[in-house]
Amino acid sequence: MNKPKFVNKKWLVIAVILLILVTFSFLEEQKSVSARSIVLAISLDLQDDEYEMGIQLLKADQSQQKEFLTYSSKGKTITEILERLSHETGGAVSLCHTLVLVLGNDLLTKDNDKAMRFFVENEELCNNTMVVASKDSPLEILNAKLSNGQGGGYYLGHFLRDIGKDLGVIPMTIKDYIMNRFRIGGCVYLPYVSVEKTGEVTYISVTESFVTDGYNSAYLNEDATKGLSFALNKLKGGELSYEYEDKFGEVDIVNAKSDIKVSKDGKAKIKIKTTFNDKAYVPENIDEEKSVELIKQLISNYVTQCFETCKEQGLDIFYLGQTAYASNIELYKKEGYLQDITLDVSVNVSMK
Amino acid sequence: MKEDQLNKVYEDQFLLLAFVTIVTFKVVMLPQYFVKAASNNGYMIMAFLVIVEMMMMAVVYGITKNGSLLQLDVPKWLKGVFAILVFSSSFIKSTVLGSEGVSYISTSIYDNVSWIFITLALLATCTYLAHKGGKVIARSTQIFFWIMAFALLFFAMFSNVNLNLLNLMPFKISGELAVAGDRYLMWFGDFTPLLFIHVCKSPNRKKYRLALWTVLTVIGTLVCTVGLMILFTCTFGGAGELIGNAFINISSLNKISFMIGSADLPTVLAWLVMCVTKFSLLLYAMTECAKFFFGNRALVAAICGAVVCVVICYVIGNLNTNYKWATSWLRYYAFFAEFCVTIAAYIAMRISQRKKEKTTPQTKEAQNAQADTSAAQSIQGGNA
Repeated sequence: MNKPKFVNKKWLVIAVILLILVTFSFLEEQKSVSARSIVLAISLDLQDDEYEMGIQLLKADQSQQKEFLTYSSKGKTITEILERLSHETGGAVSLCHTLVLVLGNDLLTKDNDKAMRFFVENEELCNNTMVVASKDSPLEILNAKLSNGQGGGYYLGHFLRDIGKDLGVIPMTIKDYIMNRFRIGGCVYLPYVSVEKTGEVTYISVTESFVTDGYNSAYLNEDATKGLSFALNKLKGGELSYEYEDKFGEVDIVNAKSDIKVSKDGKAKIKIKTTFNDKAYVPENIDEEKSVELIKQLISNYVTQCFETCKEQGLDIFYLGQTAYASNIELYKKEGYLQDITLDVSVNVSMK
Repeated sequence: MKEDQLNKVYEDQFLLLAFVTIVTFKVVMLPQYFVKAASNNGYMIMAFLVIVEMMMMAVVYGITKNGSLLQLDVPKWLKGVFAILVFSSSFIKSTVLGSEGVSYISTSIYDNVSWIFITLALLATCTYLAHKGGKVIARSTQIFFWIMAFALLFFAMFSNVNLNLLNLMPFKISGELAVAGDRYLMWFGDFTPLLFIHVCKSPNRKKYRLALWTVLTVIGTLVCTVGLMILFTCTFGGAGELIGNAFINISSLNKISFMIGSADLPTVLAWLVMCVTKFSLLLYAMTECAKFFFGNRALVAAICGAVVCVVICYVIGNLNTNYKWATSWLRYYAFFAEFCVTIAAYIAMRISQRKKEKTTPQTKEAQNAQADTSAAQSIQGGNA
């Protein structure tokens, strides 16, 4: 005779597994979201062999008032600073929602990427966290009280996401930063940001670039930054202004692409193919042919300026060494190979 | 369910299990290791070894459609040797690859949770599945499959990967590839657990559908291993040597994370279900082998699970030790056992078939038809 079944064996096993899972989740010390300090922006610099780190948090009270709070601390290691900041903020510091990482010049040129490796290898930051370089102290960017009421870091993070493929600075994610550092030449270009004041208005300027290979560095002005943008970013928007006999014209960028090649005799060639829309503003007395000529010359000058500024500091901004390596040209093996390379820029412009 | 029903699976379920077996642990840490050893050409060695593995899967299919390894008409001592080799190989793989899985879960889902909690939870589930047999594992995987499919669809919809094809060049076949292949052998040749299932034809499936599923599985496997390796190299270039958990880093849902921060749960879930299946299969192989010697299925499954748990948590304990184990001489043993058992089992099966043909002359078609009918009937009986 069969024994009566009190409990189905299958459900018993499932109940035991559930019990184990629930019990373990109580045993493990997992912090809830309310007990965490969600960081929106980080500033990091190196001062006398110590890191100075700042974090920006958003505090929203019941009256829907947003308040941006900034905390900072110093220490020999990032882990040590994070522990200290957790204590100060009263919640475990959580970096995975960080929008932007603002770095100081010393950190970019003297740290040998120790801090950046910490963030990447330990998967502390989301892959899409933006990285920028700061002209002044990075903490100033976080502390800036902008006229629109937003915190400096929070504003910067959203601003960089919005510009995407427009002419000007090229937004750099931490994923792209680390990829570029491992390319031949190890050059990275970052938006160079600063807090500016015009009368009563405080804003963050993001029009220039900072280039470094971890040791040397160069600063690209607004024009050279546009050259960088034409050479390396697949543009899909923005405006380009030009000047002719004291008159100004402006065209809208529809798209722009570039192709970089290096030949065995050390000649590099950048072909830039652009399409513009001249509906924005065309000054009187300039025909389309003339304006196309002017635009070609302008873009060529921007790109050359960018290349020469970086070449002076030994920075291979267009990754010509990597391009040579990819084409099996052994040019990149020579130390200081960049000095032997000449650049030829050709621009193709079509109007819509 | 009767003992002989536990291991019977349909052909499409076998394909799904083969896909999960090949793909699961090649998309986590292996891409990083390959970039370290073979720079930007790691995908070539991945392609070579995955193709070899798929060819071996065809041999496994050839064996299992005639019955599981321990049901073969071969001398008992030979079955004993097979069982010892498969048990040891599966034990090594379940501890080494299992600890990699635990590490993935502890960093991707939780904020560095202690390994013991994850290992216990994972092993409780996997040991149960292993104890229930190949049929239950295959059916669970079929259900899990939709989670994987949705995660991949999600990825296709929301990913925003910045690919740089220059990172793949130059194409070079060098000694580095052989070194990389040799050093990371542990991640290849995971087919012996499938030798314990008995593949039979689905009564309701047409022949062309199986062909279609086979082609899709081959393409899917190549896309998810070699394709992912190419994607990884294009995305990270040489920096790939710093990037662990390739699957999650490649497939982070960039468009969503721009809005709400890190959102990797669909990817994590997709991999987690593959990990459960793979881990269960390894424990299942160990259970079947141990049962061959000691008999009690539930008891040996529990003991195997407990031993693996102890080794993962207290002997391996961290990813560095895991790497040392995986790249030690153990890799040669595991690789040898996987290939040796599969090939030897195929040869033994063919010899026994020849002997049978000589003693009882019967056409091959008639034999196959008989085998299929009886298998389908028995599986339907099991389902009922």
